[in-house]
Amino acid sequence: MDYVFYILAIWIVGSGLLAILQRNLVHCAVALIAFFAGIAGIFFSLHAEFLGAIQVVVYVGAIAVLILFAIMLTRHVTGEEEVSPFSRHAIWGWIASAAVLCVLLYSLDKQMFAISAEPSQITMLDIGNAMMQRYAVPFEVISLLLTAALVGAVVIALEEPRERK
Amino acid sequence: MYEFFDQIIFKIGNVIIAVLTWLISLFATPPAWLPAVVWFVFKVVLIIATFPAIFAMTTWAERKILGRIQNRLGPNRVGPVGLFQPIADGIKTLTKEDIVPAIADKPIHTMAPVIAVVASFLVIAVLPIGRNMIGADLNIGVLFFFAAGSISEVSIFMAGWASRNKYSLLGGMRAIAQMVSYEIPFILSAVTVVMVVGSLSTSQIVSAQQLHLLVEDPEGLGDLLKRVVFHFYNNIGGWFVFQPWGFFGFVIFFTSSLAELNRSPFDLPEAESEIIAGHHTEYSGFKFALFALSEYISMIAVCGLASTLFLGGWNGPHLLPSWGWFFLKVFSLMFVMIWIRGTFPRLRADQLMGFAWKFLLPLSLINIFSAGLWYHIPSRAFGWLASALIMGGAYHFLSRGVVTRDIEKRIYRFA
Repeated sequence: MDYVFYILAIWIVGSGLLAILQRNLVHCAVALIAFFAGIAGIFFSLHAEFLGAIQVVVYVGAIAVLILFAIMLTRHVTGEEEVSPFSRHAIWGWIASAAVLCVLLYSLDKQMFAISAEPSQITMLDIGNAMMQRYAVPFEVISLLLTAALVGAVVIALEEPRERK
Repeated sequence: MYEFFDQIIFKIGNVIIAVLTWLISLFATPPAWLPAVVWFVFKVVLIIATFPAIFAMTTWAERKILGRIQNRLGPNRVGPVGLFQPIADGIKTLTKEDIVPAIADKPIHTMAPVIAVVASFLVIAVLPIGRNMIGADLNIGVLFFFAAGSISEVSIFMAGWASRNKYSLLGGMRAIAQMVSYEIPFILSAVTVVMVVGSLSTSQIVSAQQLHLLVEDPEGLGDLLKRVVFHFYNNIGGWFVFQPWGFFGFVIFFTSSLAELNRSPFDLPEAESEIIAGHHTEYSGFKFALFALSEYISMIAVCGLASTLFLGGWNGPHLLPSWGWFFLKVFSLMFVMIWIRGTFPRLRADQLMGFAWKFLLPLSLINIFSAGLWYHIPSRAFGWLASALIMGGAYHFLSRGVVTRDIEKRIYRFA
């Protein structure tokens, strides 16, 4: 089992580095897809098949496709324009990634050594029950938030209908 | 006799294991992991050998059937009734020069067909082809199917983008917009079955469609008739397609699967009269054949999932072995797909999107509700009726809603 983990870990780190170091935007996105697939592999190797499949459905099937679609709708579609990581606009990206890193480090510090070595079997039934009972309200709130975001995106994207005679 | 044919693959596998064990035992003690590894390799080889062969015959059948529909002969030069045409095509594509456009993005251009083929073969693994015949009996089978299927969208995008051709890019964009839209009714229609069975495992979904009515007094001639009738009822009566939600779910699933597969009448991504061949315009030789392979394998797989979810999988009266029933259902559905291709004109882009979002999506949401109602009403007959009424009403009013202008009766004037 350890070999599987190490192979997947090399795969994930490699594709993650490719995703951030390449200049071509579409190449980055493709590397990101490989990265997501590697994470799904980790889930599968931990016998969390449900999470692994959801990882592929959500990240590869939806988010990566969304990213690719967004790239196609911009003028960066050829992927040849280069953006320097030290330009003026990139500062916000640096701040955001630093914030995410802080949150991850904090949670890692809290969680990492509390996890037992033996992964407990979590069935779909448990996940369903947790989502429909204990976490029903947060779940609904998040979906409401997403709906609001969607409506907002449509309002921003929608052009005013032209006056017709 | 029936038992023998039903379990024939199983028996062949056991014979292989026995022969290998005997061969090894001549020199050393056979290792304990031998049967498991042999089974693993045997399954993989069987899937990789069988399904491309079916693909080859499907291309021939499709051309023959389309020819019949369009009043021409179809392939008839190579072999009897053109039966060896797929072999000739295979040799042709293998020997053709592989042309890659000079400005194409070479690594992604090369990777795209490979990913398409891998994604389509992954999906086959969770289909229960017959009794005890399943590549990998995952407890998340249906979810795995959709997960692996969603990878093919990425491959189409990669092909469309990396070719650096405007037609390819347009085809890729059309394909993604269409597949993302139709994926929702595609999955939601399968959710009804998952909900009623209470499991995502494909083998459990199949066994949930078997009925177990027993014959009380199995003696005498009258009872023989009774037994035959009961046998047919046990093996056919439980198919979900006979429930109202199952029927609508099946129709929604089948319709949106046509769009997922980019098949006619939803073949806008490769509309040859508009954008040449869409995302595989710039592919030649065997890369093009790989795209064709992945499309047809996905077609077989989607038909297989449709028959697993709604048509009882490999269940059927013992006139055919279980895998015979499975392939009979798959080939019937594929025939309907080819028939539709020969009959329906292509949709316009706005009709395509409107159909998915205004009609199929609400209908599949209401279908989930009606399946829940059916499940919770204790009386089966009443539940059937309630579910049928809801779905019938929803179908009626939603189809009114899609119509954007009044349809007048067309008056034909001849001369």
